[in-house]
Amino acid sequence: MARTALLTLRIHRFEVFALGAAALVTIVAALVAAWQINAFGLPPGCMAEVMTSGPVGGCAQAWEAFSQLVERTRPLIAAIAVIPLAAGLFLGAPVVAREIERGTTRLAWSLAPSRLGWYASRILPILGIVILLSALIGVAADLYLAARSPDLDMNAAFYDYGVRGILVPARAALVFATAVVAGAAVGRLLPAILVAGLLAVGLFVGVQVAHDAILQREAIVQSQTDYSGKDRYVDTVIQFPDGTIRNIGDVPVEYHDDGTQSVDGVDVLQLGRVIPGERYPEVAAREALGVGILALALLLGAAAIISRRRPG
Amino acid sequence: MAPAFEARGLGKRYGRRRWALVDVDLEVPEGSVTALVGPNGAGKSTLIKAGIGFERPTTGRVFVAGVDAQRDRGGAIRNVGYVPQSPSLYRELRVDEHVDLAATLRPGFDRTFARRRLEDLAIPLDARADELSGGQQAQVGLALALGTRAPVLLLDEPLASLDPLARREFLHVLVDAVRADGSTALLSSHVITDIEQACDRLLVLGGGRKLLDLAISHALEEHRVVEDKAVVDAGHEVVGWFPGPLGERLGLVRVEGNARNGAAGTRHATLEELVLGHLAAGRPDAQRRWAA
Repeated sequence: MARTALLTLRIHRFEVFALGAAALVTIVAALVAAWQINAFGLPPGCMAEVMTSGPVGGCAQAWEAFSQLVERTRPLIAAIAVIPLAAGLFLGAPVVAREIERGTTRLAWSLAPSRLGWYASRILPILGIVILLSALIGVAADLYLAARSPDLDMNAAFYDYGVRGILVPARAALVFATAVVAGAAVGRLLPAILVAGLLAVGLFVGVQVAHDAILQREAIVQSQTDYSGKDRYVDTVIQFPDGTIRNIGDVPVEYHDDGTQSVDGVDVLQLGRVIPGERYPEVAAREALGVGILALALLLGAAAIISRRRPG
Repeated sequence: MAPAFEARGLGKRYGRRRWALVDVDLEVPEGSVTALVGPNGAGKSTLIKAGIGFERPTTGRVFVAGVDAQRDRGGAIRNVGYVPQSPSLYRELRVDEHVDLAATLRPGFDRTFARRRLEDLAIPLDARADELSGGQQAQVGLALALGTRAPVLLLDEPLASLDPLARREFLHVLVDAVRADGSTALLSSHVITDIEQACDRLLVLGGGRKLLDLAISHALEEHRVVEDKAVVDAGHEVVGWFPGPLGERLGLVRVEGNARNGAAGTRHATLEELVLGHLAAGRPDAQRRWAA
C-alpha cells in the first residue's frame, strides 16, 4: 500500500511539489503572522475602544501600529482562500485525465483486474495530501484570523466564514472530486481543468443556496441594534404591533426622517434575522459534512465512469 | 479444452454506421503464436481490445481462456498479458518502478522474472521511461506483459514503430517466452516479413471480416501464385488478383492434392503474397482492377 502511494506521488510529483510548497509557505506565513500580531500586544480594552468611541491616547498609537502590521499581512487572506481550492483543482484533474490523455491507462488497466482498485490507488494518496494541506491551512488561518481580532472568540463568530477551520479541507475535497470526475469524463487535462473550474463554481453556489435555505429556517429574530459582527446576518424582517413577522420584500415599508418605519400607516419595527455566533462550530461542521458527502458522491460518480470508459 | 482466445459472432459498431468487426468467429488454439494481419481499419485493434475488455462488443462474445471478457472483465484480464500499440509507459517513472507498479496492480505479478528479462536485454532499470529508445520501451512493455505470467498474450501492433533490428529482437524475446511458458500469443502486425519466422498461425482480417485463419505452413502449402491468367485451369480456385512489386498482375490460387507439389505455371506463394491475395479478394474494387 505504501509502495503504491509512493508511486502515485512520483507520477504526480510536479503538482504535488508545487502545490505542497505553496501550501507550506502559506501555512508558515500565517503562523508567523499570527505570532507577530499576538506578540505585538494590543493594550487590553483598546480594541473595544476602537469599536465604540474610537481610539485615543496610547490606544490610538498602538492601534495605528497594530493596523499597519495587520495590513502588511493582508495578502495572506487571498492565499488562504485560493491555495486549498487550487490544490484540489490542479491535483485532482491530472489523476485520471492525464493518464487517459497519455495512454498510460492502457498499461495500468490491462494489468489491474479491478479498475476500481487502480482508481483507489490513484486518488487516495492525492486526496490525503489535499485534505492534509488544506486542513493545516484551515488551522493556520484560524490562528491568524484570531490574532487579527484579539477581542473575539473566533470559535463563536462567523467572521471570515469559509476561509478557516474545517470548511477549508471540505471545500478543497469538493474541488478535488469535481476535478477527478471532470477528468474521468473528459479524458484530457486542460479541458478537464476548465470544466472542473466551472462545475466547482456551480456547486459552491448550489451548496450556498441550499445551506442558506436551511439557515433561513433556523435564524432567530432580533433587533438590528443587537446585531454584532460575530453573528451571521440572514435577512431583514418587519414586525407589526401584533407581533406578526413579515419578510421586508413582502410589504411596502415607508421610512421616516425620524428613523421609524411604517406600513400602510401602521408603525412597524425593522428587525434582523440572524444565526448567533455561538452556533458557528455547529453550522460550519454541518456544511463541511454536506460538502464532504457531495465530494464522496462525485468520486463514486468518477468510479462509475472509469469502470465503463475506454482507456483512451 | 477451451481455446486460448475465441470470438463468437463478434461485431463492433462505432457510431451508427461504421462496423469495425462483422460477425467474426475464430479460435486461437492454446500454445500457438498467431499473427493477426490486415490493413488499417481491418478491426485488428478492436478484436484485441475486445479481448481485454477495452471495447464492448456490439454483437457476439469474446472469450479469453474460456472467460467472457465482457461479463467478467477482471477474470479475462487475469488471463491476459497485453502489449499496446505504443508502449504507454509513465514518463515520470524509472523502469524498475514500472515493474513495481505492475506488481502493485496485478496479483501474482512475477517481479523477478520481469526484471531478469530486462537485465538480459541490458535495459537500464534506473533509467526513466522517456530516456529509453522506442525499441527499449517496447521491450519494457513486453517484459511487463510477460511478468504477468498470463496464459494468453495479446499484442496490438507492438512492432509498428520499431526499426528492423528492434522488431527482430522483440519477436525473438516473445517467441522464446511463449515457447518456454507454453502460453499463447495473438500478435497483430503490418510487418508480414517479420512474423513469418515468429508465428505459426495466420489470421487475416479485412473490412472487419475474417478472410483467412490457418496454420501458416498449411496455408503456404495450400496456395500458389500464378502470373499468367491463362494458366489458371479448372483445378485452381482463384482466391484473388493483386499487384506484384513491379505492378505486374499476380493471382493467388488455392490448390489441392498433387497440384500442391507444383502445378504448371504456378509457383510457391510467399506469406506476403498469401496475405495480399486474401486482402485483395475482400475488396471488389481491387478485383475489378487487377482481374481485368
